[in-house]
Amino acid sequence: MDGLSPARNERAAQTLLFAFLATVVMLFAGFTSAWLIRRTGSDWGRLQLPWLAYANTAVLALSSLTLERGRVAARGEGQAGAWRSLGGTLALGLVFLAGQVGLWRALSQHGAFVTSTPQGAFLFLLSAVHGLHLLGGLVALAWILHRRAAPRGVAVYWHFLGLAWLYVLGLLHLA
Amino acid sequence: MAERSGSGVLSAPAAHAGHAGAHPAPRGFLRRYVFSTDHKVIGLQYLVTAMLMALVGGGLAALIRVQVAWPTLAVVSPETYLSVVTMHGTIMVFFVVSLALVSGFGNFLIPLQIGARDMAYPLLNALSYWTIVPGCLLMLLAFFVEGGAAAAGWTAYPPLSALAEAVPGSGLGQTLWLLAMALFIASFTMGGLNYITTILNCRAKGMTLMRMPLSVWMFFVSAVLGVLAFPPLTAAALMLLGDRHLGTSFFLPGGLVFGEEVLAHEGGTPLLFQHLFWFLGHPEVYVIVLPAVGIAFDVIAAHARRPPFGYRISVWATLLIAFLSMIVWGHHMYVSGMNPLVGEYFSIATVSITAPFSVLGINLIASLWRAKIRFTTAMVFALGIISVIGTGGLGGLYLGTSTSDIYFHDSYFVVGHFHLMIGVVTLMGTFAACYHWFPKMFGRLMDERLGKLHFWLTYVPMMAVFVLMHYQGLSGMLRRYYDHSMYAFQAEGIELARVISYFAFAAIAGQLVFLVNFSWSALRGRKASENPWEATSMEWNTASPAPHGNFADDPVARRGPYEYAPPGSRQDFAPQWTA
Amino acid sequence: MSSSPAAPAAAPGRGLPALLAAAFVACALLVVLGVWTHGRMPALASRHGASIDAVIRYLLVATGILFLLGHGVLAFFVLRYAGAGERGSPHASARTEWRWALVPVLVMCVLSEGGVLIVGLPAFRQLYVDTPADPWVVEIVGKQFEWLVHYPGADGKFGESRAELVSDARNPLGLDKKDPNVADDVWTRGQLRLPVGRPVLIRLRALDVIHSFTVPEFRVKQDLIPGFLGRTQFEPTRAGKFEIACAELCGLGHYRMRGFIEVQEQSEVDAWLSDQDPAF
Repeated sequence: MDGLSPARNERAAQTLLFAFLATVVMLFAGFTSAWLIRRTGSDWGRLQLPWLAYANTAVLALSSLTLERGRVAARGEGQAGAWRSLGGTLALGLVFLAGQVGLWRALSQHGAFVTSTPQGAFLFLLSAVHGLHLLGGLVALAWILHRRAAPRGVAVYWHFLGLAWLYVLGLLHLA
Repeated sequence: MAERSGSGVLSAPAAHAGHAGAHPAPRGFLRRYVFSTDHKVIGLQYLVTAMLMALVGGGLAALIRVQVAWPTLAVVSPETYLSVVTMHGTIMVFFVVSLALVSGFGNFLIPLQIGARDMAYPLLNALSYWTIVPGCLLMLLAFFVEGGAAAAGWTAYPPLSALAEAVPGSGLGQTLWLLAMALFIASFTMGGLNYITTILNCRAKGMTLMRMPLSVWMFFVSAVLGVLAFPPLTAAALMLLGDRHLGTSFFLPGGLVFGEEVLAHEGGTPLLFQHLFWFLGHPEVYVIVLPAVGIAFDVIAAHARRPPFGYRISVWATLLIAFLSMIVWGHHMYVSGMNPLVGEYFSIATVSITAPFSVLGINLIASLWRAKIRFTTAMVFALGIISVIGTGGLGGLYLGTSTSDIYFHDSYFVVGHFHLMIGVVTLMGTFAACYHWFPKMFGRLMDERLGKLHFWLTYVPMMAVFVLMHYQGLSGMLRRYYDHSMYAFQAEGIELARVISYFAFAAIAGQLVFLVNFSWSALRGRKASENPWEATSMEWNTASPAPHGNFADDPVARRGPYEYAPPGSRQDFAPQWTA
Repeated sequence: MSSSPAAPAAAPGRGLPALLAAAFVACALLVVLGVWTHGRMPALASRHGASIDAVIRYLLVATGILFLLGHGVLAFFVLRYAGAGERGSPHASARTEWRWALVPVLVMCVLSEGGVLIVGLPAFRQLYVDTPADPWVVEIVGKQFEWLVHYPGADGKFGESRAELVSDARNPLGLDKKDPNVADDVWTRGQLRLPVGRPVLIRLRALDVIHSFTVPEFRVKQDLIPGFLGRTQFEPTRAGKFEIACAELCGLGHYRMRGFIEVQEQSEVDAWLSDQDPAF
């Protein structure tokens, strides 16, 4: 990035981010079209989601809130508060991932998971792909915290992943 | 950086030294040539990697030709033959052509041609290269594992690719294939994101979008297509992994019987994979063909001494082609049992691509009108591209038309057609680029005599090979056959297959001429001046080879990229950086 | 800006332009000539096949003309603009450029869409739209690496088959003895008899992987997808023996997955069929 002005730097980062988000959208579009075709299969049933799925969703929503607070604070005077909020997001993100693993275990104990129902298979695959992307977000967030940089791009990415998770949940409820 | 052919804008070489303080070239062999973040080094790394993979892919091609033409020799067993066919296709499409042309020349040319010092994210760029290296190794490793390399074709249709019961290569070999492809996709996506970001944000002052050379335009469109089309393939690959290793049933229906064993899968749809695969697979054709076309435009302009005919129109036609390429994937599935009306839609959309594509063809030919052609090797290859695109492109109509495709589907006609388009066009594009931009890589020129020899040993035998395959397809010969002699309607074609094989061996031998020329010229070739072709685009506004940081000063684009024989002036060309 | 006096790195050999132009012309002529000498399709044996052949002939003529024209112009330009001499300004006005974009767009739209929508229409109709009265119905089941042919027998109804019942030696189709429709069913390994001059409707299934049923003389090709009941229809127009081949890579024995078709008079087919042992 040498030789570019800060404004251009910022724009480049934005381009990169949105182009990357486009690939993620296409990835989920691929899964969605698979979902639409697969649900016409003979063995399509219903999937009862345990309460943990909704608890995880709440955690993720909360992490978006703290991130937003941190982002606003980082622009103004309350720098210390900003880093605390971002730390909160980091912690909540980890809780969410742990919760997702818990969700997998709960589902497999009910015998409604990867191999037994197609929805279970989709849930596993989609939550795994989503979790991996979130893990990337966590790494970026940790780096931001370490560098004390402005969390603009990460915030967009994080909220986007929150929406993506809501989308996955919505798909599962569509049945 | 000896002779600067009169450019008032550029400051003296001394200024470069001053500038280098801000952007010091890395010292030490490792930092400079191995773990470099310089886009030119990375581009060359891709190019050399692709050449090494091409040795493997070409060797596999020779094996195929021996087996098909002399089946009684049985040089390979049927199981090895399928692995050979599968790996030849995968390696050539993804690890040779995509790497050399898109990753290699894309990296090398984009920053130079838009007047940038490097890619927007050099580290990401290096990461992208170092992701593909283990990808190549995994792909090659598959030959040595139990069951052999993947054997379900480069298209990897399940159930064949999903079950080791179906074919031995669908064991560990297919897993390695999927992992290697995942690494390729990751690398290619990183590259594509970098291209898009760089082209949109790092252009030199004055370098408006419509002042970019057509090669950059086509790299841009290719990157956008790749970034959008690869993720659904990733989704398909993940689901295939699930079916293979976790016992899911995305693509596997109930009631599959192998021997007398009924598999436990239930409810999946094999056709789903084909839809997802071709949603990538078809745009991928344009991901690799368009850059070759862009390079042809650049090379023809420089060596025909006139601007390309219809620059703007070519840009629009390319954008239209890119859009259409994403909504026509179903033409690979006319006989798959897809609803025939849907097939008819795909047919109508598919053949409509011929309209914008023929515009590109006409513009390429018309770029020779009232030209002053200099018959350099690069130019000769670019002219060859026009001929091959015309031949391969027109053949596409037989396959895009849903009714005639019933006859041609999975015949040698298909093999001949796609080899012309994504094999010969792209290879000749890569070669044209090598001969043309060699000065910027090594500060030397490639040997012209060997180059011409290379051209004749490429154009003639490759055209012969793949045109003759069209005839085999007309006679009904089917692809991916270990031995055709059993069938009355295919046995006749074996005679032609021998002729094809002789031409194929000549074509492969011809590529050795190139490898010799490339390595010899890199070390001993005639020294090149800064702008040996008297070309106008921005990459010639710097020393040969281009130094670290590319330009001595921040370059400024003051005119279009192709001002050859500028009107109202007696000079032969007006470079982009001159006032 | 004074252009560099240094000669371009490669001075054009005088023979090269002529050689290139000759190569392009020779390429064009040889390709077209080759269609005559080497482009023979297997002799047609089905009714709708004539419509498919018409599409192919149409494309051969249409693309052949464009192909010759394109290579001719290319060769001419290479020769004409190689040497020195006056040639006028190479700059074309935007209007000229647009005009020359419109020409190929119009030509290709008419030519290619005409091929799909007009020339291709009869073939499409016969293959997918027409429902022939009183067809000869038979089922073909693909498995690695053979074609199982399943005749419904006198009752005209296919007996049910189930994957669990598949036994390679005795019951490769997995026919269910309990189904009353099974009793008169007949199956063979790769022996398909068809009546001449009567529409044929073939049901297609696969047991293991994707196969593709193709008979080049009939201009027929249709995939057999596991878990999916496909179909294809055609009408044999001449008696004779034909080969079934597999057109979709299906494993090691893909190349030897051969079946045999005999097209005969209806009476001969009936006589042959009654000589066969019923399934159970």
